[in-house]
Amino acid sequence: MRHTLYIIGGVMFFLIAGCVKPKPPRNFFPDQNDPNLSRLTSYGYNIASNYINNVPYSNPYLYNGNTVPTLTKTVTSSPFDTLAISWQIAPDAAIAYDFFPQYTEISILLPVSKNFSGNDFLALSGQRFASNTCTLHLLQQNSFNSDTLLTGTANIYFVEIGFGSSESTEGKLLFSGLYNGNIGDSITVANGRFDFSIPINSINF
Amino acid sequence: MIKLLTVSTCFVLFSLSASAQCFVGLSTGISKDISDNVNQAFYHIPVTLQWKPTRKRWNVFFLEANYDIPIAGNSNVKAYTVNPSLPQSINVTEKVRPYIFTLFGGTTVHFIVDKERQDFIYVNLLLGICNQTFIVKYANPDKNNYTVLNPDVNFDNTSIVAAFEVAYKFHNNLMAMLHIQTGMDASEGGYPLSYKFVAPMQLTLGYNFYYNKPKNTRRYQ
Repeated sequence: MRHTLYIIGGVMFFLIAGCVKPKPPRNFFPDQNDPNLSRLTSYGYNIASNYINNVPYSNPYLYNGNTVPTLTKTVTSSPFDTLAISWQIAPDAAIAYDFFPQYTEISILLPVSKNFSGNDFLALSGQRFASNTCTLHLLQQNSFNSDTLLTGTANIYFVEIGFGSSESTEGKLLFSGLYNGNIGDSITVANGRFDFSIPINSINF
Repeated sequence: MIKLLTVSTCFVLFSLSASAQCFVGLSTGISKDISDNVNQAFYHIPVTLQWKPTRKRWNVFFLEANYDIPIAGNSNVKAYTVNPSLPQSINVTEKVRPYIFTLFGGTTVHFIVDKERQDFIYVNLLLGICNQTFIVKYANPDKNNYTVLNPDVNFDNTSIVAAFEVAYKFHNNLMAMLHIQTGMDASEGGYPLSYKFVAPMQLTLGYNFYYNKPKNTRRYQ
């Protein structure tokens, strides 16, 4: 009986071990010119970082790797729909987490045509959009259980957009670039850079 | 790589010819990278110091120190800005300077060309430890506004390499040498760099200082 249990336990161990996927790497490669920010890359590393009022922020590294952004088109009643790129952010790990206010999510919104498609998104590669076009949303955490959505203006530059071709990025949309923005005169988002890869089938346009 | 190691080991064990003098050789010239670096063509000025410490005729062992001073390796890359009042991108010169230091141990086989004039060709097979240090600099005129995409960074690594040399000794002590070295079998870290480890091919001209000459013998027997 005991031997049978050992065998079953061993088989289950190997089955579980075989099913567990290794955690993806952080892929945070520090920029020599901008302390505590990642380099501007176009490898689909799913890494984004920026300063908010000189505090370095990046997307968090959780149990399944870097948090990934969402890329969605929202239908509006106006002549244009809204394309939103959103991702979670957290202050640099070297800084204490329990200071307030801090920022937990960043979104950059662009007006797009009603028939905006995936091919139109690919055509944004190499295009830069100024603050008179883009909107910045920051989710500000004021305490452990209180959030405020702040709205301002943003600049965004899609340096490269394309499809992944490597083993880790096959079937994914890769987009990388730069951004900055501000909320009034009090909050400045500076030196932002992103290098994202998301599954093509997760896009709603 | 494995084949080179095997051949090199065989030469150490079965060397059939030898010089009967000790010498220190110093040479310099030009070196070109023959690895598959596509963005930059690396050129160096090599400085080579050879020391044959023994007068043995069989299994001649010698040491070689090799330092490659980089002289070229520039390429243009793009830097981008999100600032709407500035041009979207500019060209930035990327300077990659690989400094290479290698310590070799090897064996040599001599072939007489002209015994009277003491001219001969020798073939060296070497195994060594190579350190390659890449220093990367960007001539970015506006670092505050422009960011380089996929920037290269400084990198340093050490590994085992093999080399093959053919040298021609002439006019008593002068020596011309062709040196071909393998690339390094080492990891470049988790971050992709645009450059690869250098595999230098050197053409050098040098001088051998002979010492501890055996009495009543010619320089080469």
